[in-house]
Amino acid sequence: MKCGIYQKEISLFLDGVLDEPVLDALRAHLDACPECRRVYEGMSAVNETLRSGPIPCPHGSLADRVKERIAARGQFHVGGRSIPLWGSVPLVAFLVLAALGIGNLAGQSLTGLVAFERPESRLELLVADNENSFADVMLDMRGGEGVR
Amino acid sequence: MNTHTRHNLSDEDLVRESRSGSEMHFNILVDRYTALVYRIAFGITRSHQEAEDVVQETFLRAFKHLDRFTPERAAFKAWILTIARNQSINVFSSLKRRAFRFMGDAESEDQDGFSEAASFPGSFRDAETLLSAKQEFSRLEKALKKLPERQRTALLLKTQEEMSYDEIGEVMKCSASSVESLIFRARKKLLELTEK
Repeated sequence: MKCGIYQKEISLFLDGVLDEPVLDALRAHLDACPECRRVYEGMSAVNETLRSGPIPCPHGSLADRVKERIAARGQFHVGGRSIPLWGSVPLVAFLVLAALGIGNLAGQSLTGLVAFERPESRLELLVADNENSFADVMLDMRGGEGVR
Repeated sequence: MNTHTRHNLSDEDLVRESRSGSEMHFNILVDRYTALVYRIAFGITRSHQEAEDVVQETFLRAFKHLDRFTPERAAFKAWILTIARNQSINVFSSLKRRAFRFMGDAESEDQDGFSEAASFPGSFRDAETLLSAKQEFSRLEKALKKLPERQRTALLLKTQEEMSYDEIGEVMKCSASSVESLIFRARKKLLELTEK
């Protein structure tokens, strides 16, 4: 068997997944092959350094900060699924628009609908301005006597 | 249900309770996995600040997409670590771009960050042995940075987290034999780099 295969087995051995019969063959090869023994010793040293090396630790409050951020998201749950508050904006907008639409169709304002105000009948008197309106005066000023 | 009972619940039970609206049960998952997610994120980004940001983003995403988690397909641990790894890769890519822009800054920043928050777990007989171990690790740390992300992550998950090839494969979305191969190549490369 080639050294390359034995070297892969060294890696498996370091991970503790090599079967006993294969391990026996590897041990026999390591006794006979200085190059593979060098690889074994080097890989073992790297493994040991990684295992015994410093363990990166998060700041003690990290988990609490995560929880705070989750709580601050302001979520609520509907039917087991969480829906963020902003997710209900389209629904609210639709309801408002629908209310406005209904109000317009009925010829009433939204406040009128809500307050149940009865529309008062009004009579508006239209009086002719006898050509004394502001627009007529302006036309007079611009056109002078010749306009009339 | 008292606090002790809640903390004894399996990940899947906690997810089920969280889905039905219990933030408290999700918080137990946060307590359970913050350190692990942090170590994975640090393993990839090599920056404490970025790793902390990754942890926050990972849990926020997990909480948001909890309905996408299917226990039949993967364990919660593998699922959360997959999210953490993806987040870390995104951060790592932008860190690398920044490092290219400001040559050398990133490396010195990371080194400082590591010495601040990390601690050697082993018991060393004297200061000299501890110093030698630190120097050895520092050399290995530099070599680790030169490994491709996939090789480094697979190796760290195996040696530091003691995860099985199958578990690592679930996180990295590859087969157990690919994991085996990634770890072997990582070890060979580290050997070459540290022997130079």
